[in-house]
Amino acid sequence: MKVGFTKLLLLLATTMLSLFCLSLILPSSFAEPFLLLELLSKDSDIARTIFLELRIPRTSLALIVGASLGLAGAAMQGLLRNPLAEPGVVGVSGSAALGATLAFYSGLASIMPLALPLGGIAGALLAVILLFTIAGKRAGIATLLLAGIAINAIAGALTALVLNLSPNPFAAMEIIFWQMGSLADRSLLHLQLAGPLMLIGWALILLAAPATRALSLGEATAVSLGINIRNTQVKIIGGTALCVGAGVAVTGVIGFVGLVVPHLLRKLCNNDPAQLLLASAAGGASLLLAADIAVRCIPASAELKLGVITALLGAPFFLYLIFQLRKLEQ
Amino acid sequence: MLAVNLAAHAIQCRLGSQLVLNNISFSAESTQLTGIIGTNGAGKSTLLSILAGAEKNFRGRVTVGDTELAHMPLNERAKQIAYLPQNPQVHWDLNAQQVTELGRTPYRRRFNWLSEPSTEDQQAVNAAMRSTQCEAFAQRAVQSLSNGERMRVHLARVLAVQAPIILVDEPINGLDPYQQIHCLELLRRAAQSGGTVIIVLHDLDLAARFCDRLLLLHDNEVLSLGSPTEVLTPANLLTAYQIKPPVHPNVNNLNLANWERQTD
Repeated sequence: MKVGFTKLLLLLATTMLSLFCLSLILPSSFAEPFLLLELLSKDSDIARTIFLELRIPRTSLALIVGASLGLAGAAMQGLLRNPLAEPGVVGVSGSAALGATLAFYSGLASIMPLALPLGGIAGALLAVILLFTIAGKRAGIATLLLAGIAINAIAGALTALVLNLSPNPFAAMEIIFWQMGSLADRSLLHLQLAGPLMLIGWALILLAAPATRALSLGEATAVSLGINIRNTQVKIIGGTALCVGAGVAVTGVIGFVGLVVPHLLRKLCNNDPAQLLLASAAGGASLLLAADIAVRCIPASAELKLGVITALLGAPFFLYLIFQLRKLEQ
Repeated sequence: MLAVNLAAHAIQCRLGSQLVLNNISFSAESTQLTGIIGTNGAGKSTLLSILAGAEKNFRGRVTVGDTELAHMPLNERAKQIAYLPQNPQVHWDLNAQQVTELGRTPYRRRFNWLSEPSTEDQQAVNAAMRSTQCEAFAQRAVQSLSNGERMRVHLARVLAVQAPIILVDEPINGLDPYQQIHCLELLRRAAQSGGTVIIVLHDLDLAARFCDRLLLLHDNEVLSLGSPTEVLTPANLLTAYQIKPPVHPNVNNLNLANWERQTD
């Protein structure tokens, strides 16, 4: 491991842990400044309950969902050799959102709160099975990508249809708000549900790390270097489906993290797609923790949705990156 | 280096409905530089990718020594056969050293991918970069290099594998005459030190000068196989390329600049 990369990882890990601690002690809204610290110092039961059942799940979810988005984004870019790829490109986020929307629409979500994340996970897994069935056994990258775009379009259309057929405007509003992505009021149950799936997803993606490096030279060369392309596709796309699908299922859709974070860190990782995986995981976690802190600190009549903040900050930043790139090309 | 021969047995390949290769059998021996020649679309690159294990959609068998290529574990195959495809790509801004280091992928431990390359890997990379004269731009992004320099980096990556079998597809495209000769000398040296080297190329003059054996493909089949003098006959060249020599042909000194296209 190069010294430069070790330093980068240490820096990212320190940032991530600092933001994690900050998020734990910061108030959950602007209106409640440091109540928790005050309560904790008095060793009260309320404080312990808030800390254990609200703050820890929320902060931990920000950490693991952010890490999943960063890791999956870097992995998809490595697999597709395209800096514009992001986890949503294979249709996983869209399908997870559809699954969760159906849980809302059917009323299952109001009877059993777990139906929402379970619907999301089912949607994500279904998307992956569909993706590999459509693309076939000897799928090239272009076929997989096109199949992913088609699945995304179908999931988007079906979600719109569900909204269209929604029996009352409140249900539709609820669905729309959920889709904006948020970490508010998530419990330990959400963490327990998403956590294991994400861990499996991370492991699958990291197993494909050497392959992403060899894929920098194109598929034919990677094969000649001993890389099993099909195996790599299954690991990265399956891993992305598990960790991003589980993330969308518990938090709703959070855009731009998977696209922007690998972009930001690529040069700092010597353009090495394998190093970029770990760095993007730490970077994604830091970004989402920071965004969630921002959501809680910005005074507004209603809490801003996390997905809104990441897109609001991410999209202009992305434009800035494109602008910089254009200047370099000229 | 262990001497290993590479043989194709009755290879037939279709891409879509198009028959690309039909009943191709030949064997490339160690210590020899074997050239595959033929017109555009004759199937040269497809044949090479089949021999490298990159193209799996074919009938027939490929053997490496006594072993079937299809039965070899991927990593073992990668250590035995180094392959440079036509129009090699480099995504991202990897520098020349990083690309060459990728040649050592088959030797690196799968679960320890963040570690530095071993001393042995580093030595192989340094030797490959030195022999291809890439050291001067080792830290420069490959995408910022000229075509010729880029090709030398790819060649360094192939040599860094230190495989007994080397397959290269048109490696001298875009190189200046000095670099063309240098590249072919490198490949011939690899062959002379015990390697089995197969090169696809278009330049018949250089093929005649550097290759020990030539395989001439025509209409998806083997038209001729043998030494350059046996293969590069006016009759074969007329059949394969529809070119004819001037009035006084001299097969041993194929100066194609004097040749003319066959017109009916």
